[in-house]
Amino acid sequence: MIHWWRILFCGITFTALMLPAVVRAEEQSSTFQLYGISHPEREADLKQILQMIPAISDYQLNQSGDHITLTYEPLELFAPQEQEQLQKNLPIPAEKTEQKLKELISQSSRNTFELLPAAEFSEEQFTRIEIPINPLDCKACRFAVYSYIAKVPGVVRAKISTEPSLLTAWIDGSQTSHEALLKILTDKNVPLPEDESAAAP
Amino acid sequence: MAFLRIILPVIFPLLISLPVSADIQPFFQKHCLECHNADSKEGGLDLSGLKMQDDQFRTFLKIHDRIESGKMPPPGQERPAKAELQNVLTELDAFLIRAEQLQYPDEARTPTRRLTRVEYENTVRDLFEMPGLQLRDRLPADNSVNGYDKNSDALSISHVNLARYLEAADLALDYAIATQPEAPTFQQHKVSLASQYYVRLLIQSNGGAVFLKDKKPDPDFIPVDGRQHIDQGLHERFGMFETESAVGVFRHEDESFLPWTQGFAAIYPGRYRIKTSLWSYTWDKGEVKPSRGVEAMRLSVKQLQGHGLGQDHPSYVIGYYDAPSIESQEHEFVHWLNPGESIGFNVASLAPVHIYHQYKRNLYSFTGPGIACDWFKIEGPIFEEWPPHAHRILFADLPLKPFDPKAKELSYPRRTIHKQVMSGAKNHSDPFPGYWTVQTDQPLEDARRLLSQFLPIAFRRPVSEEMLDSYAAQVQNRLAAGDCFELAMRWVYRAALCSPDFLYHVEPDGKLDDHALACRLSYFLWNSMPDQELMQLAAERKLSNPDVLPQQIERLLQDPHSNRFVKDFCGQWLKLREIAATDPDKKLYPEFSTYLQDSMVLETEAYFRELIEQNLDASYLVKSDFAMLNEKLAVHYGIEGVSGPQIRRVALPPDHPRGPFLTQAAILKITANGTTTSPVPRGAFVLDRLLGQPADPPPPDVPAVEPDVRGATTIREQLALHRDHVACAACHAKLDPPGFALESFDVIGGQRARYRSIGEGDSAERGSIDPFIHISFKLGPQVDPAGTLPDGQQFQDICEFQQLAAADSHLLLTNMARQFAVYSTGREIRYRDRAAVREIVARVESQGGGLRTLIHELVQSELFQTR
Repeated sequence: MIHWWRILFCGITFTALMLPAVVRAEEQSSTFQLYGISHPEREADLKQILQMIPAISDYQLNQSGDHITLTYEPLELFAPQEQEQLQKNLPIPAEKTEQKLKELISQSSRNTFELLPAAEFSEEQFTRIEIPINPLDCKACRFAVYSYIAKVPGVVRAKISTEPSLLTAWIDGSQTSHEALLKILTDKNVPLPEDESAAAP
Repeated sequence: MAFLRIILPVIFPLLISLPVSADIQPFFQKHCLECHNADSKEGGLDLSGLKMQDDQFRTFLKIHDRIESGKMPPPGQERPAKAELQNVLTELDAFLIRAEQLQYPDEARTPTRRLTRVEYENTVRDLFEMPGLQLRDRLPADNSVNGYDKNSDALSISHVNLARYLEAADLALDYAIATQPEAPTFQQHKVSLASQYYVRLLIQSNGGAVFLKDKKPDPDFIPVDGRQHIDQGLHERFGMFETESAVGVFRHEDESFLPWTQGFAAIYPGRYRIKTSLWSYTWDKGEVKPSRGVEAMRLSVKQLQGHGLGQDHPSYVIGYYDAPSIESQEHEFVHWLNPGESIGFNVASLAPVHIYHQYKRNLYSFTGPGIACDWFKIEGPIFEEWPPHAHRILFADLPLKPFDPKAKELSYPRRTIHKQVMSGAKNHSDPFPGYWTVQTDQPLEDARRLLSQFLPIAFRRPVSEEMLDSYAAQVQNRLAAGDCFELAMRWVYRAALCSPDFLYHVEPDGKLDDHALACRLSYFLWNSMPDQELMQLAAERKLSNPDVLPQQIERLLQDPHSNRFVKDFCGQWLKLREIAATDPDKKLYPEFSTYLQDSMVLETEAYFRELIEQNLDASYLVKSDFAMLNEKLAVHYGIEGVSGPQIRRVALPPDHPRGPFLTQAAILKITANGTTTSPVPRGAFVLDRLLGQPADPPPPDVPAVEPDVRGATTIREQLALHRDHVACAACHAKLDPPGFALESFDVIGGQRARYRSIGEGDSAERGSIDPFIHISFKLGPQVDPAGTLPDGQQFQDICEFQQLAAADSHLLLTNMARQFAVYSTGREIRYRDRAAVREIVARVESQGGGLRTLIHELVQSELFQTR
């Protein structure tokens, strides 16, 4: 004869035992500004990098590719020795997990991807400039041009396109200018069409 | 005996201060005094008052040799009767032997001599089975006598030598003694040429190299097109250089580009297996097409200094490897590497091209050859057993146990922590294994046991109980002083490696015993200590058995160790060690390269090896129907149909001048000065080294002949005045003819009809010179290779001279017998040795006159087997 109270007792016990595991497996999502998507092919590189970090289960890029939302298991970001310590004081502070995410992404990509504080913006707020550059067939060269510009104060977004061969940047005109960016490119020996080179300060 | 040593030098002049004997005087009067008298003194010789004194030994030796060879009386004069000739030669012979014996009363033929530094290095290498241990260059350079450093007169020793021997022994023991219970981890790494920083620079910005994928330009890293890739550091972070693509290289090494595989440097001394995959191609403005043939990649060992940064590191060549057209060819070999050594490479067969300068770094405007490397795989260290032989010969099977380096009760050895010296290398050292050392519970018994095994092998002969006792006593002293067992044993092993028993050839007076014979045989044909089989035969007193000795000679000749004999003997006999003594003028000889120079040496060594292998006769020294060539030499010599860098036998048409030592590029380079040739040094070389008839040195106040590089006059014209002088004519009549014949060849051994000049002259055709090499030299006067031998025979060119020289194979064979004898016995051939040499030559001639037979007969002769 099955006693109903025995079934209830087993169920409660099972749930109690499973509850910490459910609590431990709680995923979180965070959104960051992403440095590194200089051109569309870089998304494949990003995917490869993220696959190297098992704690990250999913990601979403915004349309312009400059912001990313990562879904991850916070505790799994840390080494086993650290996890033991962190488990005593769950949940892990958000700053700590986000800092860890930044470190992991930077290290895995040798600093060709970086997570920065989210700063969504509307393109209408900023000035869009285009600087033609000589065609660059090498993806590392395209990234190099991007890297010279993307972190300049006043540049909120930068992209390299191949057809046409352009550097496109959205800038805060009070902090930088077309001429200033052109000078940076010239100083770095980025190959520019003749008229652009002539226009460089 | 001591009395004789003191008194004889005093009375010796009196003993043989005699007038010329009654048998000789009439001969002189009849045949010699007409020219060689007090008034005329032709050739500087006055026979009228000549006495047989010790200071006239050389004069009477010359007189004897001139008469015996028929050169005196001179052609045209009445010839002495046979019996008369025999009488005077017998008298002279007796005098000369007596004079020589009195001069060296009871001295053995070969005085005590130490190991040369090459012998020393080989001996230590073979003793410990560490074939790549670098010791030679740590020791002071040896002197040489008549070109041979094995000559006992050359082998002095000083406190500097001893200090260096101590250092060398310490290094050998450091490498030999195991310091951990398990072998270092065997690691396998795949390395690309792009691991090297400077290769990356070429790929990224200068155009000297390119990535290739599936035998095409790699689309992920396009070649530079006048623009460099931007930011090399970023490309590195992007991982652009960590690719499976092949690396095609166009740039030849030069003073600013000396590449090596920067992804690997040995940490532990030992054997490493090196594999590589190579191919070649023609780059046609961005397209990869079949190459012009099999190109050559040179691999070398680079000995890194410091952290492996910078470019210039000492190196030595491992070899040249085929890179066939488009189809990859894999190469594999095992090589010893010392800590901090890596593998260098160079596209040796390509002419120097600077895409950066000459093509403005635009590979799309360049058409030319390239060599590609798919990968390098380096694995090791390889140990068949642990601890290895080097440790076991010192400590047998005694266990390694941990020790505390801070313990105070005993002195323990200091340990070197093995670290990777090269930045960016893929292979890493093992975690520090702790402190381990050999330990024993019965140190004195084990010390004696180990020494009784080691010392006879190291000293190449049995060791007396007294000697064993003295070494064992030293161990006891060191243990009493507080050394641990390893340190105590190390102390005596170092002493043994610096003792006369190790450093010197120990040979008893008179007939060599079997141990000394084993050593002499081994140092002759292997340039190193006897192996176990030879030592065993010596211990059983079977080596000198006439049935056993020939077998051992054959065994040694067939073993790869005999390549050391080939290299060392040719290095000294033919002066190949001096191959790099001159740098050919870049304007006159722009086609010269280190690849050509290395090929020259390989040719000479391979040819000598072939003479031995095929037992060819001595006429092949000056004339041959084959040559040992690779493509580089074949092109240089104008011989078609040879492809690739490997040396192989090539049949030549009749009367082709190439092939023998006489016309090999190595010899021709060594006997020139890098800018011009002169018949005098070349003639002197031929007389001395090939014919065995060295000319007298020039008088002290003769000025050098300054060559005319403007091309206005030839060396022959310049020498004409010189040769017509009475005091010079006698020697130059012998020296100049072979030198004139060899004027057919320039300073790098290329054949010529006209002299090259940088001043006046006609435009020169490129011929076989690589199209990428700029030529600016002109063609000057015609070469005149004709001459007349001292006996009146004339020749018009090098081929006719070769015919004449080859006709006297007896002379050539006698010279080879002498050269082998000097090399193998460590002593010049004295007058009293001539009979023995004649006997050896006669036996060889009766068996066909082959050089392999000569080696056999020499080793089995009393000359070889007597100290």
